[in-house]
Amino acid sequence: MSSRRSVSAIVMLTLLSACTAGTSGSPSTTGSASTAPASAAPASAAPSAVASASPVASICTAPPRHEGVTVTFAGFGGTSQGAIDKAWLQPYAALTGVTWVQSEDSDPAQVKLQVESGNVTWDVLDNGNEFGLESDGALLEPIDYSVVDRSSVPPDWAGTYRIANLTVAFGIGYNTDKTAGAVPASWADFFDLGKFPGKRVLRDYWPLGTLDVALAADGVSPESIYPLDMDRALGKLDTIKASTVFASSSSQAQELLGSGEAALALISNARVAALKADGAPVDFQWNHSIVAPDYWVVPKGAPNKAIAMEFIAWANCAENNGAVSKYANYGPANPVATTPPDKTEDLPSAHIDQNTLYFDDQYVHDNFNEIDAEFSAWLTK
Amino acid sequence: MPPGVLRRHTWALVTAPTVLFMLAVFVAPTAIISSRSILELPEGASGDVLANFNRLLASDVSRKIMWNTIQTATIVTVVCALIGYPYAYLANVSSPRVGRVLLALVLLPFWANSLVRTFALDVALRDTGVINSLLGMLGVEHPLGLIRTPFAIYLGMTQFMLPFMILPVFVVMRKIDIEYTQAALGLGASPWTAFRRVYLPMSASGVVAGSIIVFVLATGSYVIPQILGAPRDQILSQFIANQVTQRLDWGLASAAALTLLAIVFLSLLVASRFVRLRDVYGAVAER
Repeated sequence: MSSRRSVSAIVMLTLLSACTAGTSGSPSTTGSASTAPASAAPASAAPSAVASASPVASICTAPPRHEGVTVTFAGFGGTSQGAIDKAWLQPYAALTGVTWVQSEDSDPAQVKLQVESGNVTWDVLDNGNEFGLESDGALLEPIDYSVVDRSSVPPDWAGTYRIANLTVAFGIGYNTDKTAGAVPASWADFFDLGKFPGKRVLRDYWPLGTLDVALAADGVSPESIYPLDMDRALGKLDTIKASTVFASSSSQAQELLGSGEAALALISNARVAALKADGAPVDFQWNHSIVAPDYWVVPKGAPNKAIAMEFIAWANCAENNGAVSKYANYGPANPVATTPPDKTEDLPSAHIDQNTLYFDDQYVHDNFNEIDAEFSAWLTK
Repeated sequence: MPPGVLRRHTWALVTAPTVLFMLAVFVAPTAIISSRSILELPEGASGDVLANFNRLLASDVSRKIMWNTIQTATIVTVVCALIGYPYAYLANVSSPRVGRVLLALVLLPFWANSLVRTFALDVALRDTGVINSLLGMLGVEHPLGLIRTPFAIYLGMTQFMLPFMILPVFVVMRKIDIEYTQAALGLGASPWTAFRRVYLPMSASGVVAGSIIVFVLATGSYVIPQILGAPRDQILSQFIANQVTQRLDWGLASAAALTLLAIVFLSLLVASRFVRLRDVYGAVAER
C-alpha cells in the first residue's frame, strides 16, 4: 500500500512539475476544488479592534530552544520570502537554535501531494488567502491556539487551519511612462480605455480579485461586492476584455507592468515597490485597493508540527510581527505590531479607509463551482 | 543449456532497466491517472465512476478546449508539412555541402533550450517587442496584436516542431531512387505528373511519420501556448495544469489527461487508415 502511494507520489510529482513549468512562482496560485480567497474581513475588520497581550508572553521574547533541529519553511520566493527570511526565520533560528530549510514553491497542490503520498517534508508555509479554509482540513493541521495567540490578528483572519501573518494591498499598479504622468484614481479609471489607453493586467484566476475590481469599477460600494453579481462583473469586464492580459501569476503581472507591455495592472503594493526599487517607471494607487493577508498553514503530519506552532506564535507577537515591514512593503497582520516609522505610509495599514475592499473567502468557497464555471466560460469565449 | 536460451536471458538482463523504466514512468502513471479519474469524484457523485468524464464532456469550456487542442495540433502539423516537405526535398537535391548546411540549420535550434526560444518569441512578438518597435520606427501603425493570439501559438509550435517533420521526410526521400522520376519523365510524364504520381507517393510515408510526431507533440505542448497564447486559446495541457495547481481537482485533471491520450490514439488510428504505421516507422528505423 505504502509503496503504491509512493509510486503515485512520483507520478503526480512528474505530472506536476511538467504542468507547473509555466505557472510556478506565483505568489498566489491556487485554491482547492472548493476554494476561495481572502479573509471574510468585513469592512469593520480594519485592523484596529484587536490584539490583547499574548497569553504566553514568554514565547514572544524567549521561545523554547530546539538546538540543531531542522525545520522546513515554504514560501513564494522573491520579495515576500526574502522579507520573511530576514524578519522572522533568521532571528528565530538565532533565538532557538533551529536550522531552516527553505522551499520556494509554496503551493496547495504541493501540500496535497505531500499529504496524500504520506511524505510530508514541509513544517510551515506562507500561503495565499485562498487556501486554508475549513474544507482544506484534510490537508492541514489545526492551528494550536493553546500556543498561538488567536487574538494576535483580527478575528476574521484566524481560522481553524490558518492564521494571518502579513498584509498586502492589491491595487492599481501603473507604468508612469505609459500613462504619461496621469494617475489612475480608481477602478473606474482602470476600466476607462479612453482615459488610459494600453493593455491592462488582471488575473486568469478569479478569486484573486478580477471580479471584485470589475464590480468596484461599475460603482458597487465596497460592502456590496459580495454576493458577486456575475452578470454585472462580466459585463464590465467585457468592456476591456480585448485590451486585457489575463496573467497566470503575480510574477507575470509584475513583468508585464515593469516592462511597459501593460499600462495598468491589478497587483500587490509590495511587487510594485520592488519594481520601483529596481528603477522601473511604476507607481501604486492605494485607493480602493483590496487588503488581504497571507496566512501561516501547517501541512497535516508536518514532522516538526510543535515547533511550527511555536514559530507562528512567536512571529505573530506584537514585538516581532512588524519586522517584515523593514524588508518589504508588507504590513503586519497583528494590528498593534511595531513597524518602522519611516515605512508607515508604504504599508497597507496606512491606507485602509471606507473605500478599502476585502475578499469574502467563505462566500467564494461556498459558491466556487458555479462562479468558476461561469468565469471560465467567459474567459475562454 | 542451449546457447540460444542463454543469449535470450542475457538480452533480458540488458533490457530490464529499460522495461522497468517504462513501467515506472509510463505504465504506472497511466494506471494511477486512470484510477484517479474514476475514483476521485466530485462531491455528490459517489459511485458514478464516469462523473469526471461527464463533467468534461458536458462543459462548454472543456469541449472548446478539446476542440482548440485538435485544431491547433492540426494546423501546426499541416504548416510543418507544407514548410518541411520542400525544405527536405531541397536538402536532398542540393550538393552535399549545401545539403549539410541546410540540415545543420534545422538541427541548430535543437541545441538551444526551447523555453529560451519561446521567451525570445515573446520578446519579438509583444506589443512593445522587436517587431512592433521596428514598425514604430518605420512609422507604420502599431502595435500589431501578435502576442497572445492563435497565430503566436502556431508560430511558436512550428518553430519548435519543424525539425521533427523535416528529419523523417528527409530520411525517406534519401531512399528514393531519382531514376524512378526520370523514368516517368522519359515515358512522357510532365514534371508535375512525375512528382505527383511517382515521387510524392514514395515520400508520403515520411510525411505521415513526421505528421504523427508533430501532432502528438502539439497536443501535449504546455509551455508554448502558456507563454504565447491567451486563455481563450488554451489547450488541454493548460486546462490540466489549472485543475492540478489551482483547483486541486485531480480527478477532473486525470480524466482530461486520459482524454488527451485518447485524442492521440484516435489520430493514430485515423493515420493508420491511410498508411501502414509499421511501414512508416520501419522506414525511419532502417536508417
